[in-house]
Amino acid sequence: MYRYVAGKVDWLANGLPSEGTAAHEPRIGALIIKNIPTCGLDERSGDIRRKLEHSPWDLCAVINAQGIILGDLRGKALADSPTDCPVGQVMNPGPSSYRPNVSVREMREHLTRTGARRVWVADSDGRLLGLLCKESLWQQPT
Amino acid sequence: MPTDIQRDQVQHLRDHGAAVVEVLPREEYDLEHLAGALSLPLHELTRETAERVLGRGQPIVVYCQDVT
Repeated sequence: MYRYVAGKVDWLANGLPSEGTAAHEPRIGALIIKNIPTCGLDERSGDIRRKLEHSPWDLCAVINAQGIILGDLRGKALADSPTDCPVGQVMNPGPSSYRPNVSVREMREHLTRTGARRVWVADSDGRLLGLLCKESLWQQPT
Repeated sequence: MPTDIQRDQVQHLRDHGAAVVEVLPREEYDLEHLAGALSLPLHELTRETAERVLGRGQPIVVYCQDVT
């Protein structure tokens, strides 16, 4: 006998096949953008600014060697930081992240309530999967 | 004592004929469960129900909601 310790939450959060009355509800995992800029804790904010200058993005996820999201860098905090400042000192630590099995309907309600425009999506181990933008939710049927 | 396993091992065992069993209440199973999983709610679990649903000698993977 074996015990799947992480259970149903882990399975669904990783987008694995499921069955049941709620199984076919659209999930945010299908809407995430995966090629988002990332960096490590030891990189310098000046390097990240340069990296973003050549990308369509104004934010960067800070991840560790395992791909687990530790923080993010965006907007003014990044623009105002000294060039040689380690990312770990200027990042927004521990941003909220959501599992990919959250339904589109639930996330619409959440973003409407909180006013957030973009959220990180990670698996149940905290590994970054991508970014979800508000607009993409409203382009989907529920 | 059951052996604790992770997601990839569940997939491997499932692909090799193991029975995957959800022990949560039936309503939660009906809502959503791992594809191909059977329902054996913990509060209904007896030797008789287990023997009726599961094959003898078949590897069994049980799960609930999460680690908590």
